[in-house]
Amino acid sequence: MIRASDLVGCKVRTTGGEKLGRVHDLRAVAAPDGNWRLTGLVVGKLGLLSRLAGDASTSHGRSVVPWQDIVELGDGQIVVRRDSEPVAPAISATKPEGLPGR
Amino acid sequence: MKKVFQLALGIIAAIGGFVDIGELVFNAQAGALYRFRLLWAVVVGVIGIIVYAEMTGRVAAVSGRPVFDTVRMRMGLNVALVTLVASMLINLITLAAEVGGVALILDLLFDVNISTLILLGVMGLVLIVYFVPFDGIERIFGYLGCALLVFVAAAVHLKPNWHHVAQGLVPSWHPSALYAYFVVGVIGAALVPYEVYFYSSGAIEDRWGVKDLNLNRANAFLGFGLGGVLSIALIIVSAQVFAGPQIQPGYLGTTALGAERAFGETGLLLALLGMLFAVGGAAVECAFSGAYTLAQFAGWEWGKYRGPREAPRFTWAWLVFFALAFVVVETGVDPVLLTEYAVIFSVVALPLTYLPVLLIARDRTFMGDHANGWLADLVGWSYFAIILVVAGAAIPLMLITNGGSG
Amino acid sequence: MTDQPEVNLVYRILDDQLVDVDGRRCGRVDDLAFDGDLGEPPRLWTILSGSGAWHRRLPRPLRTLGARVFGSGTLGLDIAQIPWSQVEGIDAVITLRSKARELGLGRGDEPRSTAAENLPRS
Repeated sequence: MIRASDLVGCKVRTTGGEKLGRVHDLRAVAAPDGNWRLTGLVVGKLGLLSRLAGDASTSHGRSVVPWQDIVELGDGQIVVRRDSEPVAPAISATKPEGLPGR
Repeated sequence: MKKVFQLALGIIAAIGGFVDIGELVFNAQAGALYRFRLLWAVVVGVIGIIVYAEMTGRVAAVSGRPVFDTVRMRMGLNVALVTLVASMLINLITLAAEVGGVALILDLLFDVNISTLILLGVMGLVLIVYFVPFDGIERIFGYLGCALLVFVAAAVHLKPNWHHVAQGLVPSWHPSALYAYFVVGVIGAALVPYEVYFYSSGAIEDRWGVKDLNLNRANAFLGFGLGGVLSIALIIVSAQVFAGPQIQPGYLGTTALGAERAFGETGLLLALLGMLFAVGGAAVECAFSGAYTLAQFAGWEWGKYRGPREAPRFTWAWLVFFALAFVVVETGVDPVLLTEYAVIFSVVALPLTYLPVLLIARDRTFMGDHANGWLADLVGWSYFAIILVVAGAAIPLMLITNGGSG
Repeated sequence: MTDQPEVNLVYRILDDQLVDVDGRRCGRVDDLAFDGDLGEPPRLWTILSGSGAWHRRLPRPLRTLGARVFGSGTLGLDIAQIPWSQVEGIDAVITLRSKARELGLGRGDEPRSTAAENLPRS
């Protein structure tokens, strides 16, 4: 079992040693069957300041590391593949459609 | 027509609810020490509370979130926890100051020993709050607090030099730490956070929705704005009556004497009545704010509209707050001193609750078309900057000036 | 995958208010638990609510102390698990499909709790 509290705030680096910043948010995809899956970590180098800038995902300096790229979940530290290419965080700032009950 | 009537009632309640012991202490001293030279600080503070209250009311009406809800969801658990602890302490100090103020005013009206009056004051407040519904509470204290308008009449009656008054409304500066301390105090007394916690949670108690945005605007602009006029009147009266003979109105009763100078015994009685209900109402708002804050942080059921047994933890929370405040005041600590601490510490913690409200108010995900426009954004961020400066200066100034005593 | 709605869980779900089927506030989303491991994207499994979940969210050096103050996260005692399938809607609050009591939430606010019984009627 993985908890959000295990992930948020962790330092993220690649197997090559490159620092990607900390985990600021968790990206999930809501499937039509009601199952939500954790597809990636929203990672950025700015600290608390970036939390203040509107929707965490759309602000600058953020990128999403796909879940498949994670190779190690440690205590306070997450290691991702060296060649992991974080994708630019394109997500609409409006309320997501298709959430349960809406 | 009915709508207009409702609006008017809300505004009157806001005027009566605006002034509390913070203004009665800081503004009266400000007038005695600096005559009209701190009036501009009232204006800065009042515009600040209008901006802050309008945003919280709008966020509450549109997104259904009261202030501490936004703190928890926007700033996360850790910042919220720090804010919670700070808010609880400040709320307790403020509540103790207000309860002590109620007792001091009762002491001027009745010849009973002060310790008994504190007990009677707290019991009276608790009984009213327990058994009267929410809007009734708002109105009892709001309407009777309007007796304070006698200070506006007194300010006019005492014939101040209006030219000097107008000059005082223009921001100016005097290179003195004591003056700076009073600038912070006067702004802080207007911008007390518990009023805003109460206002936004009250909006949810009254089930505000998008249709109530006009009511929100009217309450914030007219209610708090006219409350500001009252605040200015306190300074003018104090300047006219106390600045000449160099009396320091460090005692609540002295403040009321300003109204007596203008209108004799009737003026004094009206002033004391207004002070009693304004400060009593502030005590209620304060105890509720503490309970709202705690309940909203932890996710408990809350609200006066639920009835005590439907929201037991919330109800216990405000009862315990009153009990703790009672204990603090019974130790004999000076309510005026408590007020100064309450105002100064409130100012320090203000950015923590102002910022998340601003962030939600401008976030279209939560606010849709009712999010801040460019003007609201500009004013909102400008005030955040002002609040940061005032918050940073508050404690150093309190230490340098030895709590305003020079 | 891109045509399915994406949600940022910290921004949109974590720390939000839980409201049960009767409209009673009954806790907050204090943590989220996922079913899965490295590799395939884990499934969002349960909401954790209660003061027992708080210590794990504190800065690491404070967690041991936090567990003493707020509770160590014992299921049923200071923490409740709400299956994600119980979520009815996500708006200003997160509404659930069942009564708080059935989910082990809001026990301190039940009208028959000791806290309530000791209060006089208004």
